Amino acid sequence: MKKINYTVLIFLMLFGLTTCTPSKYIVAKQSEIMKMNLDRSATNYIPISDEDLTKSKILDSAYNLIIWNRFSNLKLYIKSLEASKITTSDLYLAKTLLFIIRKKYDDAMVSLGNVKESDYVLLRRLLSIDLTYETTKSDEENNYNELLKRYQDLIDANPDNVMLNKIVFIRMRYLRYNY
Amino acid sequence: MRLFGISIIVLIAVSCSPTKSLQNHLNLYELPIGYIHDTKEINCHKFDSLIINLKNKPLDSVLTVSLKHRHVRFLVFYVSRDIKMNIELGDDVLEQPYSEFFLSSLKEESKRTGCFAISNKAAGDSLYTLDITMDTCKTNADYQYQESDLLSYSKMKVNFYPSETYIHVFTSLRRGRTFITEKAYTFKRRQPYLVTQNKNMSLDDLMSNMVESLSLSTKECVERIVNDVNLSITTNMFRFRQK
Repeated sequence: MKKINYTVLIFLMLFGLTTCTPSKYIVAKQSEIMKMNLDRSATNYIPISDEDLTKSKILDSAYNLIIWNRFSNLKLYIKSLEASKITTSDLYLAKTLLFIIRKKYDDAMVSLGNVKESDYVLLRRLLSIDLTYETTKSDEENNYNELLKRYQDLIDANPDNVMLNKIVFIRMRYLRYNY
Repeated sequence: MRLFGISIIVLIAVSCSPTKSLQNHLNLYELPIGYIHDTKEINCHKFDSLIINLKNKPLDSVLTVSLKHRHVRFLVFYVSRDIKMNIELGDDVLEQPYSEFFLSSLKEESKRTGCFAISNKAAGDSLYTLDITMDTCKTNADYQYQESDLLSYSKMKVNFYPSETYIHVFTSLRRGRTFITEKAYTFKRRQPYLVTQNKNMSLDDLMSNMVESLSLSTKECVERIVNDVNLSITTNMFRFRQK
């Protein structure tokens, strides 16, 4: 009996450890990222522009739920919006963020595909590269150079975006160190 | 006497083994080298063409591990070992040969910020030629492990030290046979490790740190060279016009 209890306990501990591993991605406001010192950072920030948050109520609510770690509430919130037949880009983006935080990268990729091409252009492109990496990470073939090129193209398309430079630099490290 | 001889041979073999086994392990790596070009593209008129000549093979072909110190202490039931090794990066653990990477980075940077075009032609009087000699290009990192055994209780600690890159380059710019300028560059870089949570350091991190250090030093080097070539070509162009 004691043996079984120990097995259950060890299983629960291992289960707890695997489920509590924090996500490699953190959602943050662009204005906040700009203030951070990211020299030795290993965190991949997903930048949400302050302007987008003011414009979209859905994204603003999702952002607030994410920063307070209320992921179950966010899931319910998204479900309620979907039930009322809302199919806007901000809803799909909120859904993508939730999937990324929950490390469901394949689902995140599908959801991101539903965001209109004309909406959240920069963020959509950035997340698309991130998700390509996450979904192909376990492949034997190294896609480092291909991803490097895609990040490079993104930076070249936005040469004045200092924040983008900073966060892409960390993403390159993420690819290199594979932590 | 024979026993003494055998024990000496065994001792030599044992003393070589940590560096050998680490080197064999590290030689299996194949790491991608690269960086993000974050310089803004300059749209200047590219009147002149430049031929780039890398005169030597900058990086050693093989990664090497050398012993820095080795302290072994024996007491009755206690054994402790403290081994510190130095790793020097070689071409064999990189996905792309370093000279190729250096040249492609220099060409890419020239495309972005250079006020000259890159030419593949053989040297001519109307063309600029940049000869690059890499005197030194080394990336080293220390790796130390300390182990102690007391009866059946054993304790082990591994220390990873940040990589250090040292690059020393000579460049010589000429137009046809006319010598224009000569420069020497020195770059030193100490690459800090990342601040990662919930993670123990491993040899993977050490190797990635070394390649990152070399990549970013190359970036610095390449950007400076292109900037100086721009200046030299512009100054020379004005001098040429004044004449």
